[in-house]
Amino acid sequence: MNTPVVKEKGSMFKKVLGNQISVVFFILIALIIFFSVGAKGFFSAYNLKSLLQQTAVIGIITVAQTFVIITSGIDLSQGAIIGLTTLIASGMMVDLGLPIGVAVLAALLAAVLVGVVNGFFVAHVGLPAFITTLGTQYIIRSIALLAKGGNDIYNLPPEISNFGRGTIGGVFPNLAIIMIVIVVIMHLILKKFSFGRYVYACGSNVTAARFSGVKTKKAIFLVYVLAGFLCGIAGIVMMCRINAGIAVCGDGYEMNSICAVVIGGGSLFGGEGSISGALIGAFIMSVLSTGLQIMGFSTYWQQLITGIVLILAVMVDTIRRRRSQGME
Amino acid sequence: MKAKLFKKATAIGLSVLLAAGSLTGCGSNGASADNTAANETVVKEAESGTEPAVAPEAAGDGLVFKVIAMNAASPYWLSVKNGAEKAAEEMGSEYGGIKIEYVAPQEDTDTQKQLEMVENAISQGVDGILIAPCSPTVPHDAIVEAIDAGIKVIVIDQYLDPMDANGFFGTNGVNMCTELGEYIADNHLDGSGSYAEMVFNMTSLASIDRYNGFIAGITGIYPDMKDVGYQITESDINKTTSLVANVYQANPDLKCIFANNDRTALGVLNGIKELGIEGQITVCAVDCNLDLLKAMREGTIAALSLQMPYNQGYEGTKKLISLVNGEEIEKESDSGSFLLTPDNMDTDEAVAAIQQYIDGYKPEDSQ
Repeated sequence: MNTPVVKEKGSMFKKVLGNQISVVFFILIALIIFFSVGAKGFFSAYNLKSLLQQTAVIGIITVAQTFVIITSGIDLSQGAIIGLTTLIASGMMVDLGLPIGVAVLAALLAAVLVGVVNGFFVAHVGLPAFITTLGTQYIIRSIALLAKGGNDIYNLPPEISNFGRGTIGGVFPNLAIIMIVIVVIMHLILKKFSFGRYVYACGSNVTAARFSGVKTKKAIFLVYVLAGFLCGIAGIVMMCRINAGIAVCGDGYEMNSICAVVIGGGSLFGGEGSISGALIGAFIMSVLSTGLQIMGFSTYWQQLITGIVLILAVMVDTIRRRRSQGME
Repeated sequence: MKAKLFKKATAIGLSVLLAAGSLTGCGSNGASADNTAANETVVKEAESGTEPAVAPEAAGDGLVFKVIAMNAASPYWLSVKNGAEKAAEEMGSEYGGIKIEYVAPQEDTDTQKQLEMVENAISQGVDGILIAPCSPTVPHDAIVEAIDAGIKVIVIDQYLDPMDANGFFGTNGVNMCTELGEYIADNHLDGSGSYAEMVFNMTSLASIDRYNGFIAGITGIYPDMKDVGYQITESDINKTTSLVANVYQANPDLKCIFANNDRTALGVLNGIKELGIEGQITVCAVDCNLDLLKAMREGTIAALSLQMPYNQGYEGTKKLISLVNGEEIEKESDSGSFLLTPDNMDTDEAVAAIQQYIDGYKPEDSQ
């Protein structure tokens, strides 16, 4: 007689606290409250605006990384794609004098091409994603460095920095709006379209997915192409933000996106993860970095604390999994 | 079941508490460590009962300066930090304490991170910023925003383009390398033969200034000595090694090679060793590391020009203080350099200059 009631309670609890997204969302809110109280200047219009702006690049590549990680892959070429994109776009504008639209399209095309190469080797040749994307990371970075002999490109058309620093209504930075649009579209693709279901299926059990009629190779290939395209957009956003083309400007950013996805409930074993969780993860990292800086912590402390939060977030997730498995 | 639920809630609650706890814990520790100097001075003032000589705008909680370096790993930038902290310690008592907050991106390639650091300093409302820009333009607009918000900004080490900060305090590459060129010409050359320059690029002002300075130094003494021209090394040791071989084969009368940064200098040393012409060619360079010091002791390197990052931090902070006091400062000034030679390399002054590059260096380290 009592069993259904208890079950009901259990599922309620599961919904509210047993869900990684609501746990990390709670952590994000707690951090924002903590810094608003403890860091003078954190809760100001200027800082909230720059916080949004600072999360744009990381937010976009986090969305890309979410797709890849759900298929149980990983994309280590993200930072290199960002650098290459800034260099191609600004090189075409500054050195060749081409219009902004052409330069941006060409840079995006190059980013998509990198995605095609990644996707081909991972999905069709069957190489491990870690090795493939590490290889493309090296190759792309070299190409970007060779293209201009390691030199940066400056003196971009003023439209670029105007757009990069611009806002809509003085509140919402243009770059953050690009990120939000991408987040919404990609969330819908992942949750509402059959492609999204295929992506999860490939990560949960690729053989089972294949037997149930999912074209797994095609789905995984498309995920890497999509990831390349999104990193290209992140590169354009980066160029608008730093107002320059720099081959190495995105180096190491893939680690931040992987962190964000994992904090947001993604599993490196695949089959799990969500755009909303990953985005919260990205914001947790930005809020931590900004908040600690405003509180006056040195860089060394910031890294230590970010490391602790990463491990704690994953620990909470592991406890949650173990508990829910124990209950079932 | 209820017990299980309770356990689950506690586990999650505890983890979150732990997260918050570790944050606040570190917060109070970090803050108290950083504030020690400030607190001490306050106590001293209270004890002595003297009227604190505080400028009206600086009264209250003391001053906060953000020192933004290019990367978090190199001892060069730690020297800037140490210099800034020394100045803050010396002058802090007059201002109710000066707090130096040191931040830097992991790598100097992460220009966006450095830009964020300037923006966050504006949010925080610091009194001054001492910044070594990773890129001459990326932080420019944010620096202008900071100045508009009433924050004093001194740029150190690398130039900002255009120079819209309150002041620039860095190495004058022309002066530094003219001194180096003159020393080499006086002590190692006789006007015969030729000389070559290895430069890490020909686009950055730092590289171009050093190149021009060295040529000015040599031609000031031997106007007719043959310059075989520069080679671009991209700071790549292997590339430099083969460039040295090429230049030497084309110019057998080569007497001197100038390398305008430390990695290029390592490549030059490699090249000379491969050719087996140590001792025939005078090598001189800018900056230092342990390998270059060992080579100097062996006699393969004749002179090194060292920059003064400690001085940049120390004097840069003093300039910020002057600006906060409403005093005028020189818009651009030279942070100086030290000419290291085999004769002076074990003097206290030289060891102090080397320690700016190699933390805790002692003369026996290079033996």
